[in-house]
Amino acid sequence: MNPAIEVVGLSYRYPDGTVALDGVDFSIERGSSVALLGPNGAGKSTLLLHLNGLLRGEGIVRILGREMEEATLPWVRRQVGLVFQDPDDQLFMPSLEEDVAFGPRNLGLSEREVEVNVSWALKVVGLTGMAGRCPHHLSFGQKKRAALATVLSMRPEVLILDEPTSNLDPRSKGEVISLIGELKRRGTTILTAIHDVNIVPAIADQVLLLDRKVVEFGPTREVLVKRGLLKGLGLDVPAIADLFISLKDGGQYPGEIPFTRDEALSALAQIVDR
Amino acid sequence: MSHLEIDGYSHLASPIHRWDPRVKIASLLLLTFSIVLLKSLAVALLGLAFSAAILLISRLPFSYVLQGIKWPLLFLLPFPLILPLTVDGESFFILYGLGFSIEGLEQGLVMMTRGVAAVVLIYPIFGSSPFNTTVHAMRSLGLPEALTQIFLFAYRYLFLLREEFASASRSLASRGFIKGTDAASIRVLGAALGMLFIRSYERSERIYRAMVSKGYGGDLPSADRFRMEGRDLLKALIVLGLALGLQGLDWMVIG
Ligand SMILES: Nc1ncnc2c1ncn2[C@@H]1O[C@H](COP(=O)(O)OP(=O)(O)O)[C@@H](O)[C@H]1O
Ligand SMILES: [Mg+2]
Repeated sequence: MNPAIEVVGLSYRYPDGTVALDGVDFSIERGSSVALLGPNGAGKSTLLLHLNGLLRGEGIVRILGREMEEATLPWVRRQVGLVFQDPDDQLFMPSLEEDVAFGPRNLGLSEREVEVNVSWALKVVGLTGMAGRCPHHLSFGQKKRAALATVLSMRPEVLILDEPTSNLDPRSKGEVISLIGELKRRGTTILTAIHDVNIVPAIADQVLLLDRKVVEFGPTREVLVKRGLLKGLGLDVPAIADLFISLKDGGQYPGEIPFTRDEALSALAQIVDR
Repeated sequence: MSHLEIDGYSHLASPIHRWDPRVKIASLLLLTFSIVLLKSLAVALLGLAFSAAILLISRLPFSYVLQGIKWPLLFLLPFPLILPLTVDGESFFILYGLGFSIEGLEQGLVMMTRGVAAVVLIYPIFGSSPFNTTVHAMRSLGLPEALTQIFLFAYRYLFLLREEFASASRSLASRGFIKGTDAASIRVLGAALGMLFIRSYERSERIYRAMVSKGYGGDLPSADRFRMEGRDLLKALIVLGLALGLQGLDWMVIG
């Protein structure tokens, strides 16, 4: 076993008394992609802030086998890239290029390496021609991708994304989804807090259901069919799966629950053939 | 964009634009100080001519500069009208018992001329390089790190704050709010401003987190490496000559 992220008994209470995390335990294998699902206020963002030491609660957090403590923080922040929900919070330099170079320069890379990482990160997110632009003047979709580039340029082993598709139009959502797929193929461990359950099957092998503590953690296809559990948390089952769960409950469909359009088409063909 | 973008024409090509920003800022600021210290009207007018010439050389559009300096100008123009009334001296003309003094008029004109000359120079100094380059140059001239960062972030987030302010006013207007001076409308405005304040406070916290998570430890990394050449020094010497020349003339005239 070689976990990228290991969390043991993590609890956190905000200064105003709100208990945001209450004994969270889980561990994520290297190279896997996990979706973090939970209703508003479930503590998703709070949990993510713990994973690179921006918040310190009670309990243990281990990154790539090393325990997080004061002395390991700089190392941890080099391994774990955290992309926040609001891109305007992360694009604070006067030009996109300087923003993307901010992390690598803090790591003390040589200007040559900084240049290589910056142009690579901008290429991955499809913003190569925009390097000199003021981040403020980018479109919202471009800002979201730019924020991702500012973290990718540090080449983190572990990538943590907080709502990367929120407020995006369908095309930009599609771009983010294929980007996550691309990074996963490169072996990056990815944890994504996400609202839109319909996207989860496309980006994650596993689902972590959170409601101040871990409610469920398992393979995407096993967790996302638990309609009662999801509804109880105020979450939806993906639209396609929802339909076929009803068909299965009604005895019209015996097979595996489909999650993608293609799977649904062949499942429909089975039903028609019967 | 608006007057907030003092660097809106920093992409132009001119001898001022090509000047090493550090040398440019230092020597033009020196010229500004020299002009502001002048006492003779004739020499101050010469200083104004130098400023105008430097502005011309910088090729910054006149209408754009005028747009930016019109408020300071409005503030400077009344000097020649007010000072004759308040400065003692030989009255050259009496109206309703108020004496207009010649010394006052001259002092007022000197103040106005020096002020206009200094304001005109702001644009060649700060408008001929991208704002962040200017700030980095000022840092390498000894501007403290904290001030450098405050300038950079203020510039970046001014736009955002303005948008948030505009969206708050739109949201008030769309719900039928009309700005007035009665207690109720001041209460609403106060609440809206308070909300804006809290929002920007929370935003600053999130920005700080984003910076720390990317390895920020107090210093902003910068790649701006300035290169000084003979030409930069030559320009600096010319401007230095102008600054000293003005002081010399002033000394000869006033004594
Ligand atoms: N800075 C804060 N101060 C106090 N309470 C907070 C703060 N940030 C979040 N909370 C509270 O902590 C809980 C978890 O919030 P969060 O982690 O943002 O949830 P999620 O990201 O899942 O929507 C919520 O009840 C929220 O109101
Ligand atoms: Mg959140």
